[in-house]
Amino acid sequence: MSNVSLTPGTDPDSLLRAVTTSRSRRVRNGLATSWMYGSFVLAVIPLGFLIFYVVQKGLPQVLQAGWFTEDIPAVSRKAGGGMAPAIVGTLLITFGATVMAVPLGIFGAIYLHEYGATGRLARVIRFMSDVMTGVPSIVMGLFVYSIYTLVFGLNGFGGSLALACLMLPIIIRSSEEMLRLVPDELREGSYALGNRKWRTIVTVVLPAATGGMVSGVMLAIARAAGETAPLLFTIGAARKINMNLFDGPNSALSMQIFTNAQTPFEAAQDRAWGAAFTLIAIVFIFTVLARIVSARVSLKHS
Amino acid sequence: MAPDQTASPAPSPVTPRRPMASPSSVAPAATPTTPDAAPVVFDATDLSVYYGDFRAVRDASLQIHQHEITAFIGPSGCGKSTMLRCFDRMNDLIDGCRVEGTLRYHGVDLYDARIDPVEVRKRIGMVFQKPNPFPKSIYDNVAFGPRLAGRKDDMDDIVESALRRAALWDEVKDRLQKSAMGLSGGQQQRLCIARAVAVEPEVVLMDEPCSALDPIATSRIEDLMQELKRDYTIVIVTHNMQQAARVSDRTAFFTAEVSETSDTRTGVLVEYDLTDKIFSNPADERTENYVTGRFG
Amino acid sequence: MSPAGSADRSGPLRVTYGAELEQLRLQIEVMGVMVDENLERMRRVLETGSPELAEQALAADDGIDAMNVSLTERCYEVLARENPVASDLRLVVSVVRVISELERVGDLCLRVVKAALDHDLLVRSGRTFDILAVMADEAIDLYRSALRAWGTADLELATQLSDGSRSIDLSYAQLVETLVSLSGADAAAVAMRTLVAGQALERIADHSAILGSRLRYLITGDPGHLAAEVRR
Repeated sequence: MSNVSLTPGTDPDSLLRAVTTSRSRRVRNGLATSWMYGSFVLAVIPLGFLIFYVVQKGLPQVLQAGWFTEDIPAVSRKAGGGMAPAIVGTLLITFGATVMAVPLGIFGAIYLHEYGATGRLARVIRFMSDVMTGVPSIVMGLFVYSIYTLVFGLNGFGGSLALACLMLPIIIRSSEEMLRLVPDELREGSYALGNRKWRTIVTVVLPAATGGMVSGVMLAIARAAGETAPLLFTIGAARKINMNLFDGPNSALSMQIFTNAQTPFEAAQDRAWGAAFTLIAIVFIFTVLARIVSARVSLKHS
Repeated sequence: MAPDQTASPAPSPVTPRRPMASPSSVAPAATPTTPDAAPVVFDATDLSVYYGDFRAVRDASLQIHQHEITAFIGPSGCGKSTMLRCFDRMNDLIDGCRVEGTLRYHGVDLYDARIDPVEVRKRIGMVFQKPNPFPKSIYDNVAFGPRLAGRKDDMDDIVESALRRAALWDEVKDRLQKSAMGLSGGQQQRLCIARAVAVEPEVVLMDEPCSALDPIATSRIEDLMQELKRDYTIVIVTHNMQQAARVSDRTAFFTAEVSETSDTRTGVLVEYDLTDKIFSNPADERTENYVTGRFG
Repeated sequence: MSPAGSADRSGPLRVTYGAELEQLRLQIEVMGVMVDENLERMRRVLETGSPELAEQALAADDGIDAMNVSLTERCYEVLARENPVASDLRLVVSVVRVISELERVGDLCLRVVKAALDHDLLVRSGRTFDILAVMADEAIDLYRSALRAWGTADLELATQLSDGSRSIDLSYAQLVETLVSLSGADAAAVAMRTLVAGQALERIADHSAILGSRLRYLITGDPGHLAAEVRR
């Protein structure tokens, strides 16, 4: 510990000594910096490995002709075939979930922030929403299985329902955050002009919060697209493209990874890797889109 | 007749600048005593504002006159903003806020149960301390109010006229479609003023409109106020005494009384008079102490 | 309810500004005293005609002029920098005007001193010389009343000063009457010197009254008291 007095002398030497970093301080600083860098590298390594593996194993599959168009082979042993049904299924089921979860979530968030505030009902809703975030996805699938699939059979809509239940609390949470970020001054300014509350929300608050909310929704979509467990009990397994969400079993990329990876056949395992790559690519695209949208909107605001 | 008038620009003809006929009373709730020609827009009688149980303003009585600029001055926490927000019922937005006493707007009790606060706010506009333009284009900001009111045709003219009245037209006429957030602080505040006058209110309330602005922007807005008062009635809350002295025709001085028991501060109207009187020879010692700045 | 300010403000604000205002008040009194001392010298020169005393008076007047300049500058500084209002503004403006009144009194005092140098001429007519002496006393008394009023902010005294009738007016009338009836070879010379001195003394009394009137405005702030006319 360098003995620096609180009021060093003002002669150049002692002043210089007081304001330059001592050797021990420099060493400690260097150690801490290396520690940070090291931890970061350590954290990134698994991600790096993952990406490397998936690309290495999956890309060749995806690049095969027919990956995006052909049906899933009936016999897992056989090589070839495509993932078209699974891709279509993932997109359809996720779309269905979005259509249900987004309006509910956004309006729910509007109620929570603009009308309910700290009232009892609002607090209950918020609490339940937080609880729902913690419900394991497989439990959600089981729940939808028991109330829907047992009644209406295996179809894509069941999967959408389950995914929607997963997405809803995320959308409510993130939308409420975005609404909270809209400064109250904007609302006050609107009221001061003689605007009613609901019109203020529609004409001022929502446009201002849109960027962030869209970004939050897209992240929820990206997450839902990758869920496997809820789909296990609800959509069944289809090998052909099924464009009808309500009729008959459907397929999804996550399901295909699950089933194909468990087989001992190499061809199937390769398809699993291909599906993994496709799924990651879809999620990645959505995430990038979310970033672009929120960046563009915040650019407009600045 | 005083031998020489101060060399300030002539105010609107109705404002009397002759010396006081008689000194104001020294009771805590003082009322102006000069006879005046300007019609009364607001008439507050024993107005008290409560937030729950806490009384923020006590028994304030004053009258706001048409086409004048009235300033509320006083230290922080003395209820000036609270008082101001009574005039356009913005206090309604705060939970647990209630108003006692009477506030009449052209004779109508503003707090009557039948009055719709939204309609009130269409006639009494407000500009806030921190400029708060909407994150939309400049054009859409100014057009916001008129569109609300259902005006569709000649929106371009309405927008231009409002921007001219706010002395902002020349600076933004070539970029009306650009975002309002790209303007400087002073321009944003003038945009907020344009937005407020675009709906043709009768009264414009300003809550410390210049406190977030640099001196040049402040001077522009003060000049603007002098022009605006020809068409509107303006009430301004300000921390800056010199601004009140420069700009206003009448000044109301509020102070905070501290309750010995609960350590809360209640705002009280000490003196309300022509600005000339308040700053040259105020009747109440508390006013004198405040305006000279030497005793808070 | 305690009055505003006692609960959370511990003392006066703008301390430097308040101190400067105090200084202006004090320096005005100092200047007033300097003029008073010169008036005393004037009285003695009137009695004795001593050229040394006259020299002293002349030199002292330089000091008064210097104070005029420096105090006025200080007042302008306060106006520019501190933005005084209400009673502070009245104080600064009053100080500026009182400075010029005091300076005038100083000049008038010198006028009497210069006239009194022709002492043998003045004493030629015993009667007028006596009246002059009385007038000098009356003028100095009035001036000292004004100083006292300023020192104690005495509104009553100030009011008296500004519209009281003064014995010096009678003395002046007497003087003029007597001068008119002077005769003799030097009558004209005597009369001119005496009249100059007498008028100056009478003007000193006028300015003292104006001082009272300025004090009245400072205390009351009533614009009706701004007009510092002297009633006769």
